[in-house]
Amino acid sequence: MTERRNRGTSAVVSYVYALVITSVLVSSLLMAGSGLVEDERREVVRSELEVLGQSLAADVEGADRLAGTEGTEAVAVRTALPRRVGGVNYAVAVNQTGNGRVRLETTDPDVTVIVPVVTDAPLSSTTVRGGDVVVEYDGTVLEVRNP
Amino acid sequence: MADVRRVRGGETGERGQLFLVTALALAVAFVGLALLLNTAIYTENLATRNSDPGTAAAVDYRGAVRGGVGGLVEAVNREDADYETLEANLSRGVANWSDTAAVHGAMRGRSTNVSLDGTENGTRIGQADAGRNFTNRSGATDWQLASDTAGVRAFEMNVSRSNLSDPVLADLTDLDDVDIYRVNVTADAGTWSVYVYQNSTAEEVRVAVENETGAFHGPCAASPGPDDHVVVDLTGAAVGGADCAPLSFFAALSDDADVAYRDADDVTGTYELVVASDFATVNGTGNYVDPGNGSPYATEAIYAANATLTYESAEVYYRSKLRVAPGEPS
Repeated sequence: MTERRNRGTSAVVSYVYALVITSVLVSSLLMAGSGLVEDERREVVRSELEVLGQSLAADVEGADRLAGTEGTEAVAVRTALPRRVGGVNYAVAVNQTGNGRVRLETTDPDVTVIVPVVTDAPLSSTTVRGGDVVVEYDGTVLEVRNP
Repeated sequence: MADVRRVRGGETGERGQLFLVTALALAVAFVGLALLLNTAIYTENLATRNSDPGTAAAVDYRGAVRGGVGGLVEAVNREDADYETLEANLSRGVANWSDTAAVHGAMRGRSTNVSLDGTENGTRIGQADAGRNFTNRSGATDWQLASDTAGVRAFEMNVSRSNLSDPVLADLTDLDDVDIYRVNVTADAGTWSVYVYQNSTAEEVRVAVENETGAFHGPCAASPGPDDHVVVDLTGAAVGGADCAPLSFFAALSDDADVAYRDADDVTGTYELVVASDFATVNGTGNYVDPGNGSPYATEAIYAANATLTYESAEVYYRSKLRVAPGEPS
């Protein structure tokens, strides 16, 4: 008589084992993969916000340099910031606390970048979103806003 | 144990469906990651670019306007005309300069403009006869060039070394006691004296300054060229082309000043200055003749010009008022 090699086993249990182990493997791989993608996305967003922040700070300080010349009546420096970074919208807060800082933040992923700005002319507190931005000086204060 | 290599029922052609699905899902995720990192590379590249928004060009234009309008003021002042004619000539000159500069700017995509707002009246005083001493029309050796003038600019003299006094000095304080040509500038804070003399052994022209407290500074020395003359630039604080720091007191004068000569027979040469006083006031002293009739002369001149400049490019808009007074000490 031929020996049965599968004693004490059940087809159903084998099937369930196969499914469970496979699904555990699959889900852990997928979670690791998406975790990696999420981390990279966060880093990309941070890096882009830093570059944008420095570029905006350079524009503000350039406008301040013109505003500092004697007898200046009006200055306007226009730039176009990208509307989204890494696929998400972002908000820029200028000098909210009065320390001369520009804060860029996104909500998802949660990234905040702070860039210091030094100006001679007073800088007003405003918030701007991505897109066209203009730094204006009317003779008294510097203001960053969307036109 | 479970045998995941072989699905029950003997079907061997459809293995590992779930792994295939997983692999495809991971592949999609990694392609998305690659696109994301591509954006990161672009952002890093942006970070290496020049961040200047073009404000440097606006500042350059302001400097060019200062130089251009300053040159026009000097050129217009060369003509002996009354104040209305001078201002009209300057206004036309500035408009022409603005149009020419605008063409240059337009080639680079910039719109620029300068317009004259107004002028400050002044008087140009000078002596063109190099063989004459610095006395006034009647030959007085101690006389006042201008009194209570709001500003002095472009004060330059070209003196002959051999006709200057050659005093024997133990130290600079001896200058007070000797007959030496000097320029006295009197303001509220006191009187500054600029002594111009020579040292014949060293063959140098020397300039020493006594400030309002009586302290002596200098001397600044310069050797004359082959024509035996040295240029002393009082408002520019230079003797013979080299910096002379004691002369920089001109820049610190903040209120109305008197300018006078003492012992003006101890110097020979030419000189010129522009003061911010009205011509009628200066000429009324009787010290001067009309230009072209001898020396020293006084004539109407523009002391300073006020202009408005506008600069606009694609990124920058800049409008500013500018006061131009060429040769004004700063």
